[in-house]
Amino acid sequence: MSGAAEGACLCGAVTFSGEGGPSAFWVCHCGQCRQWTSGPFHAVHFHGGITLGAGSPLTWFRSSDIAERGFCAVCGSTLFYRRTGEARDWATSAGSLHDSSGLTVTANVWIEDMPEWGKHAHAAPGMTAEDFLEDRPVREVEP
Amino acid sequence: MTATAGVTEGACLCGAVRLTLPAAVATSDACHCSMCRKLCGGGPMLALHAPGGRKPAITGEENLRVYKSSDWAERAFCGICGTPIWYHFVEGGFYSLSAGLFDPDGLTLEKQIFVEEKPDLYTLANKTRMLTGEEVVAEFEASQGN
Repeated sequence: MSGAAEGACLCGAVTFSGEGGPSAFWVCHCGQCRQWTSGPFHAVHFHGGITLGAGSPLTWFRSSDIAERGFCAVCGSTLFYRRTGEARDWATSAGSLHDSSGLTVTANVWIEDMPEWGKHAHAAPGMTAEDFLEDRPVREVEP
Repeated sequence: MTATAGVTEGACLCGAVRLTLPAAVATSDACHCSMCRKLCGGGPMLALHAPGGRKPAITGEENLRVYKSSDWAERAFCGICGTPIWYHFVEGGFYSLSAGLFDPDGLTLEKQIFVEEKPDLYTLANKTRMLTGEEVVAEFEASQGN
């Protein structure tokens, strides 16, 4: 995958384009992500952010003091996570991309909440909750 | 799987939809099909089932939105927060419930299904039975006595 990446929800009502190629692919194991998506959230970031298709029926839910989660009002696809009010830089579900080939996990996030249940086998650098909330760069951390 | 306490009460992220399983969890699986991955944040749908796939008791059902995802199945989600709630095989009446609603840690993931659709993006560490879509359908039909 390189350049703009097109994506959509399951029913096709929400469409978007991820601009400028992927900058990161994070798998978030926090309790909220796992509650919201049945397991960890597989989130792709794009250098140029997200451009939403006209008329997309996206609903935002304020999930914490700092963040919102976006889903399709028609089919319920869980699509985006963003810091509240962030215009373009939205973490985007890898499942919504038409072509996700070639993506490699760049970080496991909120690693202290990763359960044995549904645990991932991939090796990747980790971020603790504090790393994430403080916008620290990805670093090597003991799992 | 043996009956496990502590996983019978579940809720969506905003708490508007709450489920109570009629009995202990019977089975669990992870579905890698592309539809589940679109609905469930790019990973497999991790799911729990009550015995027989029975419908759980539910409060806040008025907050559910239902999307017909195929000729044979519906998906329900919370209209307020978007949390996927269940996959419902309409004809067979079977409910597959999002494990994220519950606290499944301590359970053992039994099987992975539609493994032929799993992308290379992730691999689960759990050692489970691995079934293709065709094998899942055959197993389900056998369990229904068809």
